[in-house]
Amino acid sequence: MENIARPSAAEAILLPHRSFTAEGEAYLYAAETGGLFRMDKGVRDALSALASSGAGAVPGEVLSDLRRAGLLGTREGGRPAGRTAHPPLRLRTLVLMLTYSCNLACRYCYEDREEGCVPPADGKPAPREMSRESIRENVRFLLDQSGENRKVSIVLFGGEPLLRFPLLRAAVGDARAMASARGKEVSFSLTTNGTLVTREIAGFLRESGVSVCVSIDGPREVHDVNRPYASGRGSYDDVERGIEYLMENRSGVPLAARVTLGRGAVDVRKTFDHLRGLGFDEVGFAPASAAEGSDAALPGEELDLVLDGFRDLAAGYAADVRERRMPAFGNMTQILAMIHRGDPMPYPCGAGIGMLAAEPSGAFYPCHRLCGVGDPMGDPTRGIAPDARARFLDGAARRCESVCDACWAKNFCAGGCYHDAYVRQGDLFAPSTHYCRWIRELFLLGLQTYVRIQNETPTFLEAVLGERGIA
Amino acid sequence: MKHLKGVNRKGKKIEEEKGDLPVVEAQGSIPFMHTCTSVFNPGYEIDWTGSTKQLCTPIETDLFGTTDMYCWWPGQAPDTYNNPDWNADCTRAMKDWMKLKVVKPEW
Repeated sequence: MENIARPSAAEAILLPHRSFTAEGEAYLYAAETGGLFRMDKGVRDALSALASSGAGAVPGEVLSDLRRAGLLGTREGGRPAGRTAHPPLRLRTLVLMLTYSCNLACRYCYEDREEGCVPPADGKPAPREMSRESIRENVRFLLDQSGENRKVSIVLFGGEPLLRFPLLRAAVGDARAMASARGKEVSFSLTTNGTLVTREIAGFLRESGVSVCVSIDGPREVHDVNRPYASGRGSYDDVERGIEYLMENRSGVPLAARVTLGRGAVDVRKTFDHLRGLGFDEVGFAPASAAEGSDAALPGEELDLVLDGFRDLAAGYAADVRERRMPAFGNMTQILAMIHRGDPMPYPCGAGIGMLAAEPSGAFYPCHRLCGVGDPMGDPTRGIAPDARARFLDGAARRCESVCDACWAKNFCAGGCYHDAYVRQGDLFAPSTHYCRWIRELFLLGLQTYVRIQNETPTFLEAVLGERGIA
Repeated sequence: MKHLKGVNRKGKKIEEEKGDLPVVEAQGSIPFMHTCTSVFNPGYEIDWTGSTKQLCTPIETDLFGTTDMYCWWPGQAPDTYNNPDWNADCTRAMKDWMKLKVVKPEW
């Protein structure tokens, strides 16, 4: 006889999930476990029954499957797995803020905000440039803290790091020597505005295997509005020349473009095609972090247009995979990698967990965008400040356990970027609720694309996404 | 698992796990979370943090967020398993909400 569960007072509750159809089949994503499943009609009927207030009987076998997948909990301590302690610091990535100086004056830049980077400490302005000794101390700290990790990564950041090219070159040499003396391997990535790249610099970057990410916002008419010099002159011509040098010096390391989407310039497809035309292997997009209603903030209807553009690029992504071309739409690769692994993620990023940023005064902050915001998280000589780190992770966990707890997209977003929340709402741990709908639609697009690739080219997922790190 | 087939790495892992889980006596219910205040709390003019930032938005500005079961007062929407196309012509709810399909249950 079929095992029928009887309605009872100690009822089970449905935990956050999303069901959707793709490729003619019904699928189910369970947020508590991160598991993605194809479901049969029995499960579809059960979900309908469980979600309606007058739930009828659901076969015990289906309930058992749902419980296993992480869809059923109880009101009393119903979570399948709870989090009790902060994750240990597993430092893999250290961002070096080589300088706070920059030769551009981008319209959405967060560095010029009063409460942004480098607030005066004790009335004295903090140093704006990192010293070579400070770099060495930071690298030593990274290697000390990396534990069993044989590979560590250093991000060369600023300001515009190429304003200090001699320092950057020294940093790469020093870090490599220090790492190899301890049997470790260090990889470098550089985020640059591209205007200062010369043949010499491009040659150095290739020889040193530094992966380069150029901040460029699209065709000239868009880029020059978003990213001018302080004089107002556009920077497109100089970036284009820099990119040419980088292309002449191509190696096996992919060249990435990072696009910031600001108000009035959201033609994702056009931008993507333009940057592919310039030779970039990967293109990633992010809306500008900006206070609501400010000059740079995207209004809701423009966020919708961005989503439409992403849908278009996602279709191209699946087609690329089918034809064995490495797809260039970076955001989608990131989402798919996350879905593929399916690890529930209670934090929006690795800030303060696997990543720290070191700023010129020597202090650590959770990430490059949060330098000078809140308490420092320690420094390379005295080590991590456990209280500051605990406060930060507490804030992050509180946010995720409250407002975001019921959302099926919480593993993807976990409340959103701390810095974005800080700029918009003045609170690092305010959930970015203005993006909720957008984030859920984007994650759904990711799930649908995942299923499509799973059906068409399943080998791609394990081969390409399985080993890919999440920034 | 007979009714769910793992698709991603985690889903497959769960599917392969052995061992019996207890059969649950279950009844569906709508959990309400922390996004709105309950009737005994101060009211709908502020949210649970005491600010207005997280108050409900009108249904047409967040069609999907306000029709799922986590909304305190969910908007009426057909279930999407049996009516996957109910919003097919409504790409932007703010503009196209009149194109939402009316779903009549079959008796």
